[in-house]
Amino acid sequence: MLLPIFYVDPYTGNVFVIIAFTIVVLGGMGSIVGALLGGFIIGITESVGGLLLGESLGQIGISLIFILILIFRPTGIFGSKA
Amino acid sequence: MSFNAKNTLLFGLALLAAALAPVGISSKFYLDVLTLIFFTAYIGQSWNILGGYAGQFSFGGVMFFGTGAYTSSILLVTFGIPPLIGIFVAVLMGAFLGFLVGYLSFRSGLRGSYFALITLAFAELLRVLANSVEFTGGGVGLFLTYAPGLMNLQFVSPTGFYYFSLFLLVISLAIALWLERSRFGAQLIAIRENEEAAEALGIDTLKCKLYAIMIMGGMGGAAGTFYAQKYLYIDPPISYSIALSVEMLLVSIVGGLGTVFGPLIGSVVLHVVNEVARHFIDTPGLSLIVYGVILIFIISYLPNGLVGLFRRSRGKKEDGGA
Repeated sequence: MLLPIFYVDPYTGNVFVIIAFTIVVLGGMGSIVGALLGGFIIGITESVGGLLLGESLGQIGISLIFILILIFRPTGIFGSKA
Repeated sequence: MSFNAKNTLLFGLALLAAALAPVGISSKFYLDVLTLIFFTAYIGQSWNILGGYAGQFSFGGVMFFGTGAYTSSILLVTFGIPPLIGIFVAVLMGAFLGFLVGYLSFRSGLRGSYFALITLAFAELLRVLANSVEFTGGGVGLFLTYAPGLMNLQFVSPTGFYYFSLFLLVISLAIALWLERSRFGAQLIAIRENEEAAEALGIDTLKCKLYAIMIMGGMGGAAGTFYAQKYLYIDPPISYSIALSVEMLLVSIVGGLGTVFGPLIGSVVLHVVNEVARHFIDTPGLSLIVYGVILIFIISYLPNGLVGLFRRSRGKKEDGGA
């Protein structure tokens, strides 16, 4: 699905591994709705961040929102209290 | 580790051998490999204090390294302050960053993989910041001028850097030895084994974890200055590379978590394996496969690391440990 946009090399997956992990933790481990919502949040943050803050600083959005959500909701948005 | 006469003697002899090594080793290559081994052992030990003793795994240990490298380099390039002073500022900055990250994440009760990930996120955040703002040189990085001298912590021969790394290593071993024998170290181990129980016993877990991450941060900061002065160039991908974060936890885990000599042994083994594999396998890049396979074997069959193997072969004379 992404190959028309990305070129292929052995390291292609690395970027997505981190993003995928971020999304799951963000939404709450084991929560399907959480993963969906997390995906939306990350996707929108990435695009809007690039638009508002510029090419380089825009990448800050993902890590920033990840840190903020973990600080205020340590188990993710839909995570159980356990 | 018990501190009996035999161990002290062994330790002293090893230190003497290390101090005299440059006299016997004329090859610059081997000296450089030794320097790298000591450096990795040092930075691995910094990770080991928080990860091994206090049991708080972090994937973003490189952030202290990068911040230290940038601190002393910016002080040198922009303000002309020599790295001999800069290294202390780097230590302070690293400790301060450790306090900040530790306070934010430990206070909201993050632990386990959540703590590991938030440190990774902090490292990524700093990398993007360093890439974007003006005073770090942005994506171009910072070039340091070559002016050997103790004030600049630069040396003409590899011997100078060898002693510099040895000095750092000895400091890290001293900190680990102090942890093994002090009340603070015992509190960290209590937190690792069972945080709720430690809290119930009246240990201020937040404060202890904060001290641990600050020690780690300070050590990482000094490592950053060392790197910047040795290679004279830093940029965001080098300073905040995930690879270094992985390497520092790797040497600790391979050597033995929460042990004084674990990171050193891990660092020796990993570097020697890497160099030997590179020497015998001609295809570039293929040596990493050997490296990877050996790593998998060590991690699957030696849960206590190589130090654990050593302890077991002595018939479990020493109790406790990793």
